[in-house]
Amino acid sequence: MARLSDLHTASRVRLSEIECPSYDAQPWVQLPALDRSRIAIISSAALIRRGDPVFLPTDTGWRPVPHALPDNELLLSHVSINFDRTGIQQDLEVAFPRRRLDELVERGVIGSVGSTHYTFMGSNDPKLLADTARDIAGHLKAERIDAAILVPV
Amino acid sequence: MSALAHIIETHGVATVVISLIRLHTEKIRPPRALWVPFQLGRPLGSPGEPAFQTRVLRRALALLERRDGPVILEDFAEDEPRSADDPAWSPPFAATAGAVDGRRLHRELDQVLPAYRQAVAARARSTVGLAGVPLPEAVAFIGWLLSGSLPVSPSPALTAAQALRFIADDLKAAWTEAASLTGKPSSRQLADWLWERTVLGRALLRIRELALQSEDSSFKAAGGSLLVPGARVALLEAVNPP
Repeated sequence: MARLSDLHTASRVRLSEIECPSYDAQPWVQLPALDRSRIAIISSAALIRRGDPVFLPTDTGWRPVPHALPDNELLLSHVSINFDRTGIQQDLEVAFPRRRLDELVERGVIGSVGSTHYTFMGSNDPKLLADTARDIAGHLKAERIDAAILVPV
Repeated sequence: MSALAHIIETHGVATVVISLIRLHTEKIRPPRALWVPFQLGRPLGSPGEPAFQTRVLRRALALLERRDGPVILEDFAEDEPRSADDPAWSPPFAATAGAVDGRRLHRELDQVLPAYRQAVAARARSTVGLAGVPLPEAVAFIGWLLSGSLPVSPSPALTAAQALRFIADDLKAAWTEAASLTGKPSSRQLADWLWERTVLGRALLRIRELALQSEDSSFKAAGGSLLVPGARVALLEAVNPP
């Protein structure tokens, strides 16, 4: 479990003391209807295409992940070794649910899935990821994505 | 993730966050979040449980239709179905006792490879490949490290310290992909097996000790903090205080 009380002391202290940004305004975009919406995934797992350079510790950039890219072409290059990787090793959907989204399209729960998803390395200071967030937002808008689901590791 | 959601929503795209650390989500207050009580690394719960994964995903996506913002934080009440140990699971080969050295590690690779190849065929994928080094060369690299010094990187794209980190990731992945082919082992079972019962686990623990004593700062940093998870170090230090 990821309840802080279940983690070992060093992780619990480190995660409790991470500085979290605060914001003056509270944004809100109302989605008209989920079954007509186009959805994309944003993953903090630092996924790379097999053969591409890995994310190194200070990398605050982002990479696109084509929806159609086979699972075997995706590797997990996140710097942290302090989260479980055995789930993703057995089943990528546990952290990057492209097939689950496809199924929800078939059932009419969501309208469609974007042709591109996005990934970055989540262990960096959120302040250093602001440009990445703005870049990804620009691409989502250009690709007419209505909503993004942000999936951590 | 919550901070990114804030910025992305500010730029006009609706967002929903799956939250693993509720405290961070409470502080950052993204527009919509579903906290899940799963371990870090498993935001949709368990591997090989598509119905459960779908339930998590639908609960999160449903928040996008709510109109009672601007801050919604809900909890997912169910635990993941594979959090408990599987008593029927057994590892793919018997543990090897004795000293840790390169020869024993090569022998263990020979035991791992049949199950690893079966696992790759069954899943049509593998997460091995970060270092771009074939497994026998990766094992040879670890064998060299057991002598206490950092050898030349076998990967032209990585420094020796980076190679150590990603080779270790690749080997751990190969071992656990092989071990999880049958049954439904919990992550704890796989971790206990890797760190307590395999030559690879004992080799990486030994390399961590050597790295922490090394005067080579890059070896010290990579070997000291990027090989063995903090939770495992804490367990070991509880038994044998440093």
